[in-house]
Amino acid sequence: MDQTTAHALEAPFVQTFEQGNVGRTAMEAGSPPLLSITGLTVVLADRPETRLLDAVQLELRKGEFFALVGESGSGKSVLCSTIMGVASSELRCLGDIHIEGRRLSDVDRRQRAMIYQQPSLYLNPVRRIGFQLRETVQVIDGLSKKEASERAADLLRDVGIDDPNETMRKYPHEMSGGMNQRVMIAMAVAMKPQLLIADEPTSALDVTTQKQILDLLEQLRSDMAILFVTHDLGVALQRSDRIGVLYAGQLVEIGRADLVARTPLHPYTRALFSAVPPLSGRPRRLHSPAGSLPEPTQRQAGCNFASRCSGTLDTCRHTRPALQGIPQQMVACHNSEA
Amino acid sequence: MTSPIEPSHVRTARASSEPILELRNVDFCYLAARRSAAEVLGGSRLHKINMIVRRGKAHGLIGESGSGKSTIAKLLLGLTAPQSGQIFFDGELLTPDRLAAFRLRVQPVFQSPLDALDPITPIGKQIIAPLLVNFNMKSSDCQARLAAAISAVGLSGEILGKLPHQISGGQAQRVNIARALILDPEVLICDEPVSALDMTVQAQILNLLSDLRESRGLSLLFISHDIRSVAYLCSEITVLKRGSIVESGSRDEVLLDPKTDYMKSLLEAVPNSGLGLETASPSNPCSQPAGRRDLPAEGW
Amino acid sequence: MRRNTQKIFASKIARALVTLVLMVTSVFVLMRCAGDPVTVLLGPDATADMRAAYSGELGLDRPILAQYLTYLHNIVRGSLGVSYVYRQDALGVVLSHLPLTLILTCSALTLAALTGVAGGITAAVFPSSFIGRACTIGTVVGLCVPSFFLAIVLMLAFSIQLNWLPTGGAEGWRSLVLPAITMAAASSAVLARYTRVAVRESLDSRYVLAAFARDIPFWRILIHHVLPNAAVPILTILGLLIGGAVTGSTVVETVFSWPGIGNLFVTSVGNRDVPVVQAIVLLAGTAMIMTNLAVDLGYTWLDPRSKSSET
Repeated sequence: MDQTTAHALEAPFVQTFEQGNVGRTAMEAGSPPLLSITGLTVVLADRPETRLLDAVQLELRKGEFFALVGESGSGKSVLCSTIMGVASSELRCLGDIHIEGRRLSDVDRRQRAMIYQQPSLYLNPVRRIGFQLRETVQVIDGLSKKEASERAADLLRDVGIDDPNETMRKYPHEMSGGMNQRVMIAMAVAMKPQLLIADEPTSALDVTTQKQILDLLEQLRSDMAILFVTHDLGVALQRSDRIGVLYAGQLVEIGRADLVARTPLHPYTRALFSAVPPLSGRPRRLHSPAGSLPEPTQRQAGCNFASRCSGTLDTCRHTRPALQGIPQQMVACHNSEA
Repeated sequence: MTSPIEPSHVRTARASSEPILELRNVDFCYLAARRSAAEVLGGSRLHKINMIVRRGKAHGLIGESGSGKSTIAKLLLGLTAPQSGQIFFDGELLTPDRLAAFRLRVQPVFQSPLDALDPITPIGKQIIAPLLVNFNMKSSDCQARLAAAISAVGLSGEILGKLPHQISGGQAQRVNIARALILDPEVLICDEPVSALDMTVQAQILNLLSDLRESRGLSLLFISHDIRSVAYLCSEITVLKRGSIVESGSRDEVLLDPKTDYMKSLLEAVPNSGLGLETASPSNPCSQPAGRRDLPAEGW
Repeated sequence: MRRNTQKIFASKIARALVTLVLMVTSVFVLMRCAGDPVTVLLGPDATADMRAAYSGELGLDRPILAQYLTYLHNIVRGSLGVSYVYRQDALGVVLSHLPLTLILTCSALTLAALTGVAGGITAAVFPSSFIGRACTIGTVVGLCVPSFFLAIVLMLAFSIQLNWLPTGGAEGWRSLVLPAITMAAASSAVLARYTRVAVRESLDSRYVLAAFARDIPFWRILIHHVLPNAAVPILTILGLLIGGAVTGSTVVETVFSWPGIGNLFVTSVGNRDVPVVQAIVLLAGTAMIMTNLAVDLGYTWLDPRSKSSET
């Protein structure tokens, strides 16, 4: 199968990608995966036929920046909280999650850290920044209060806050969203995690702040794997080594960012591309598939995207496609070789 | 009584591209007691704002949080008054006695579509509420307009009996637009109308706004921090930074030939990664690997 | 920030003063609407001359505005008139009953605060355990049982059956126990209910979720993250309970013949002893406004956000 066969796309896609970050993952390819998810299915505990995640298969290596792209209702937040081990008790998880070869339940919680879309909601509003960060450092490193304060200040400096002592005296509501996100990242770094889950960390921020936060995350990736969840395909492709596209609880496409950017194989991925308004050139009509993704309760036996797809085959309506293809780029579509 | 609102076809007959909304030397700042809260977020004061929204055009207002862009929306909706300077609507100075009529002709669409809807009232009733309240119309007399409004925003009739929690974010934003349209306004003030929506839904709403502008001769003020949406929808763009206008001009002038470092830095910060969505330029800007921070700006 | 805090304090105190003036005025209006004290005191058979003489003595024949001004003037001077019944300074009569009421309400509120907050936290933290359920059920019972009923039950059990404690009076600490428990029961239930909701809400918040994800121990989260956030609603309820403490003991004082302000209030209303009733109402209103002010100022201390969001 030739993955690079041209797909009938209106816009010309990226021509060439050199080594760069792609080569970097190739280097690590021999090492065992840091995070490995196999056949992860998450259902409602009282209605097991309602699947929020459906047989998700995913591997992350150390130093990798993996972007998970999905819209609301795709199950990306469920995936994050399942990996973090804070999933709601109303959910039941089937399948396996391993971190460094050990089952999730046996793994120290400190191996994983998470940052969120609205950092100000995840910081205690009535405690000072300094208290919250110092507390984390004290708990993780067992330092005295004074040592912890110094370490906290260093952490804040590391995430690009120039006046850490001033910042530590502030409350979350006295700071901007970008600054609060830096504090959240400092707290995550304080845990020295192997895996950092970033759930839409920049969606609520201005573009310039977004860029700064993304730059900061990239500096961190050498020490850990980053699972970056976003609905913004632009950010995903720009920053990540590999991306996965989640649609209605299923990974429909997963592969190297450069390959996906050049030849998106799943029609939904292509729809995501064409929904991004261009910055230059004459405005053309944005192409977007009608409708929205099906609710977990309304999902049929066949392909979840079938009702919105222009290339639906007969098989699409009865059989759900599985991920297939070369390891560098896999797609779950019956019509992907057309 | 004949229809209380001037039909839109009469309006479109008028010369388009004449100014419909104009801010002239507008200064605004929150009262001292409020200021401390606002200053935390960078201050929301406006300084010497001059801006013109033209009839039938989409005008984009770009600014980061704290730039004062939502304050401009409030001023233009008549929800607050400037400390100095004037606001003109359709060539006439906006004065307190004209405010009520003005508010019917300028309608808002806000960022969080579900927050803008009453959670316990069926959608249909919410859409016609402005008619019932402003013109004492009977509910039965509104049905034709209701049907027209929801078909204009691409919704089907079955949604009318539903409650807001039963619909998606994209549908909710369509409902908000329908509710604004039912008064047959001349201007829509859209304050970050797509920022809370998913990419494909964003595209649908942007297309809808674009269609409405063309088919109804609506004027749009589209306020957003998302430069891509503004670039798609608007022919004229104003850039706001900390309460002052730093750039203003046609879409091409502002995006292709930014004059200020601020606008350049905004454009550079837009995630592009060579999505292949930009027109190809001679020196292919996308030839570098993604994930590098030294990725050049857009290939203009 | 410091300047801002001072400004907020000043404006809150100013608001409290305005409320105080409004309260004082409405008491005046209400007392004038409540019926003619002359008829009550002299009886229906009194002659017109006697009535006129008595009215003149009390100043009731003067224009209403003049009466109001005199009333204000007297309040400022601290003189609230002479009790029709006791023939003494009304405020003095009330203040002489105050210590007993304060002893009762303070012990009851301390008991209520300790049990209510502890019970509320327990019910919130262990919602499905035996002890958590017991707290929740206790709360409902405490809210439902009227205090006069509880008083009688306690009296029957501990005074009449077991003969451990007296049925009434104010003779030493033993006579304090039953009224204090009776009065604490309802307050404790209210507090427990609000505490449970506030703690539950904070436990479900995202900052607590994030703190769990940072592997911070549960007890630390409870003490350093949950309780400071839950403190604001708890303080509000506590403030209301304290504010109502001056007159809130009326029923309990009557049932246990505790000679405090509540008892005095009931007697004085029956006697139409206007100056005493007025003094009690003014005292109770002032107490309510003052505790509310204290609670308001407490918010500023507990919740840093209220400093900058104040308009």
